[in-house]
Amino acid sequence: MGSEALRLDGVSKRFGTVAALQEAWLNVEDGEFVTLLGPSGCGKTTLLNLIAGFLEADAGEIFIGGQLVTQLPVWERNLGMVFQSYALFPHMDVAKNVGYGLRARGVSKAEAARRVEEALALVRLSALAGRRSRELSGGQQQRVALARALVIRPRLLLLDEPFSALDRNLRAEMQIELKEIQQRLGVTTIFVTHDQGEAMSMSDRVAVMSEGRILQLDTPEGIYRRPAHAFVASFVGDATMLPGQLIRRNGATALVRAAGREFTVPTAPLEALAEGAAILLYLRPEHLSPEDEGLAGTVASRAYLGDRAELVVEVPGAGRILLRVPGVEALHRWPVGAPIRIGFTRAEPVAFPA
Amino acid sequence: MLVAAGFVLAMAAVLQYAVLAHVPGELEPGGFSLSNFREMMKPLYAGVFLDTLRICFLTAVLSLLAAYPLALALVRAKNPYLKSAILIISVTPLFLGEVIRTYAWIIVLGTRGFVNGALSWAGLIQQPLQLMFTETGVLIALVHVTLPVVVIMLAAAISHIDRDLERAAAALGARPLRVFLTVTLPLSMPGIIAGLTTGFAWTFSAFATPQLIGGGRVNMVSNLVYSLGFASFNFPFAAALSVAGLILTAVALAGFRALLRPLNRVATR
Ligand SMILES: Nc1ncnc2c1ncn2[C@@H]1O[C@H](COP(=O)(O)OP(=O)(O)OP(=O)(O)O)[C@@H](O)[C@H]1O
Ligand SMILES: [Mg+2]
Repeated sequence: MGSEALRLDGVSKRFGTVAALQEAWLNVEDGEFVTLLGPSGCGKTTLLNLIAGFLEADAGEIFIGGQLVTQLPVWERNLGMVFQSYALFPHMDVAKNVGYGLRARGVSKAEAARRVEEALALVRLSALAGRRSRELSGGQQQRVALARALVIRPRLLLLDEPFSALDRNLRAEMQIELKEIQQRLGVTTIFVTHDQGEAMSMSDRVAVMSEGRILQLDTPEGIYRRPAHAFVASFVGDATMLPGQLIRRNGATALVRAAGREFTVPTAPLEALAEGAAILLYLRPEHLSPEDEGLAGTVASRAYLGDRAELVVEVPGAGRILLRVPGVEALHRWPVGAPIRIGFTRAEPVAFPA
Repeated sequence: MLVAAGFVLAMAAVLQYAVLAHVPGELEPGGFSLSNFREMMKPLYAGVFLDTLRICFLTAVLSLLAAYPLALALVRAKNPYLKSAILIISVTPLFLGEVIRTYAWIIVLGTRGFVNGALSWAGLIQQPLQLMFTETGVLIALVHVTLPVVVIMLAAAISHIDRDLERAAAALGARPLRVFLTVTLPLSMPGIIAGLTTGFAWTFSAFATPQLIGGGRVNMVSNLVYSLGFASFNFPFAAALSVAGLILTAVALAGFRALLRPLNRVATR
């Protein structure tokens, strides 16, 4: 990793009584792809707009490439911005759109033409340079928007839910394309989404946000396997929650009891708890499987999804547990009402204060 | 339907009168004649047509210049009080009617009126300005008449501009003036065109303002029709003038639109 591309030092923003962003701290390395992930209204757009300069922070400082930019107007920040609505200029053709930032910078005509061509080639749209923006499909429009943002060689590329208006297949295609371009150019990227699959598949690191706070900033694996916060554990991926108690802490791991069994979990989230205190145990469905020695229950419902099936198992005294099994197996062995025993040998449980 | 039928009948009557001869001293017209239209070619009348066109054009352009900042502020102001203030100032005149507004301007523009009072109080003028019975005075009052409609048309167009476009431009390095000139203004073009044409057509039909503030010294087609019809009782010639005025409006509007076509292309390219 190289040097620091973006730093937020305790940035806060209120709208009237709404604390849209509370003390955000963030450090992004050169060339990194960082995603802001969180439910609607958690402050993702607010954070992105603060970085871009469309909003002014109430408190805290923002550094881009080591330069303090908190007071710098938008047009001097040299950032590439891609909007959900594409925001292509309807009165200009594709080439004019892409060249807009170069004209604003006073780049010579010849140089601008060359760079526009290069940017359009990058997004595979060279053939459409003379088209009007409204004669393009959604995917093409978003690629023009990307070319327009990249042609100015921005210090940061900022994208606010850029693919949410596209259908599923096109979205997957655009995700791969953006990731490829981002890696080829090595441009530091801040990507906003509320789609966890999108965040997991594209990012070097993910910042999970809730109610104006960044709860965890970690690799996709880190936020999935070692969630630092109950919200992160339930927002990213599926989880079954079982109530239980803390038995004791042994350094980095702790022993908890739930559903009549003992589990070893990371200590960190339980640091402040007394022994015997109530906890919630989080279990990932794909880490559970039918086992002969397992916890006894009955299949309460079954959702067949082709490659796999999701079973909801009613366990007396524990509640409902979600597990994922291969699709064929589910059809033949686990109809609704069938007895089943759930095993935890592959489980990587985490626990949080109840 | 009934209204449309009445309208058609009235138009037919006017058309019929336009091609009849005037018998001096008689209210009843004479036989068929095209003399009315020949008469109109005289420099006196042709001059009135040219004056009318010029006044309409100037009124449209001046209204646009005054209305644009108002409309922009109306759409973009964040403060709700400022918004209502702009709305009240720019749009309420619409509900007052031309005659009342014209009388208000007579008070304001007179030699002892508000404008002259304020200017001499500020020491800017020694002699009162002659505004009443001048084209300047008429223009001021006419702009006031057309302003609300132009503001509304511009505000409608401006409110349709996606703010993300301006943000995108700013993020790409454009300063506010550049954003305005390359994004906001070109995208307001539909409103600008509608405002100019409406201002133009609206002014063509103005009567009370040029009549009262112009006081006979500023003549527009409508005033000429009035004085011929109701002072000289030359109904056929008045009708012919009306018809010619109508045709002229249509032609002028078509010409105006042709003139604005390059602007329109900017807006939709
Ligand atoms: N201009 C504004 N005025 C008032 N409140 C605002 C404004 N912008 C955002 N908010 C509020 O701030 C909070 C965060 O909004 P923000 O747009 O950052 O959320 P988001 O995470 O981008 O949500 P979404 O996924 O729906 O886009 C919300 O409660 C929102 O209602
Ligand atoms: Mg948002």
